[in-house]
Amino acid sequence: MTQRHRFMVLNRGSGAQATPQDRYPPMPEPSGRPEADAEERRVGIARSEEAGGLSRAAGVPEGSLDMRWDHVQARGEEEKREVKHKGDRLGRLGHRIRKIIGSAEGRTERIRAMEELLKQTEELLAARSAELSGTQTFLSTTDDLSEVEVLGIVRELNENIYQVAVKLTEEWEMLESPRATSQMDVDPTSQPHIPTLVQLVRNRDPTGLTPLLQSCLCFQAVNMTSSWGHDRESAVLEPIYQQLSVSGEHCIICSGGV
Amino acid sequence: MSIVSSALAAFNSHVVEGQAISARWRSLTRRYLPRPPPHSALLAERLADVLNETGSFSSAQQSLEFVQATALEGIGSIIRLSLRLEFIFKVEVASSDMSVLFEAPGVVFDDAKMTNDFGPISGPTTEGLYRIAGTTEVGVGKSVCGGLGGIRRAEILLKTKVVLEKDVVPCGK
Repeated sequence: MTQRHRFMVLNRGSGAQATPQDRYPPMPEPSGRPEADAEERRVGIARSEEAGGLSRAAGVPEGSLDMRWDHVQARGEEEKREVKHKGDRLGRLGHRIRKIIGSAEGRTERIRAMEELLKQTEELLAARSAELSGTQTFLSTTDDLSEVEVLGIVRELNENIYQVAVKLTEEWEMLESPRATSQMDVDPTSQPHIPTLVQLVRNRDPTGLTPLLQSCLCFQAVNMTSSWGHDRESAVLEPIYQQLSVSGEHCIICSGGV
Repeated sequence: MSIVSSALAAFNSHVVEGQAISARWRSLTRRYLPRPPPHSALLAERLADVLNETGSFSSAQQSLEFVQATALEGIGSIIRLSLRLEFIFKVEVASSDMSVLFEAPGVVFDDAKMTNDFGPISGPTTEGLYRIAGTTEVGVGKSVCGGLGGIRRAEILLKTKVVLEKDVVPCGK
């Protein structure tokens, strides 16, 4: 491009009508590299001076060339400052890039450490799960009876309760004792604090006696089956068991050492 | 939350061992407790008290003698079976907490837990309006505790059989 401008200036200065753009070619655009751009400017100025000499030889006014020269100098200075500014900026950017790279390396190292920890935890979890699964299987199959067998015993209990209640009722009906003459013919709904079945029997109604005795026997059976211990020391264990069944602080978890 | 905490949380949410551990503790502890005293006399006294309350006898001693003379053998069977069930529930069954169910007089009838001794309730839906006069047959329920804050799941294996007040109160009263 420089060769082309030079040829044009020389060519036009020798006789043809030269335009200002031909005489003073525009400053080249920055290439993005500050040192290269500065070198380009210096070459441009030298060529402008050469062109000025040729212009004078060709009859171009001297004042116009001086203005151009000042303009070129000002632009050169401005571009020098711009180059310096870009250099500084490049330095800062390089520093930031180095810093970011260092930070990324640190994070990569931490991620690697976390992955290692996760791997160890997963291995430990797998080992504990397998151990617990085996224990669970052992513990959950310790029932000595099936549900069907338990229900069979409960039905037998109900049958015995019924038999006792019926036998007592039959014997009671054959009694010729007074049977609470003072409490006869009481409206069952008039005394809500006394169970209905009791009031029925008081009214000499035998249909209420069997369910009444059954209810009494059922209640006693429930008491016997639900008692956790039969002395004061043993009864203390029941709240401990209730707490244990909901607290979740069990030995397998605690002994895991996780 | 750290990795260890999250791993533990995942671990706890997937493994429900509360029932097995607590039931195992219950079984081992209960197995070596002192054996219960005989209940025959106590149960006969309770029956005598009930009969005495109905005004059937002139004295408590008379009603007790009546019970002992009539049903002592049957009472022994009831006690034997009850204690057998107690041992089963406390020692021999570890996969769940089983219990015998009983409904107190005056409780509102609940079809989910009870059956009517006099047959199913017919007519318009009046669930919740009937009250229980007494329990004639005990039921059986079981629950499994989740442990570690888990939910206790309850299930009824045998419904309690009850007598409703409407079936025993004479009409017009």
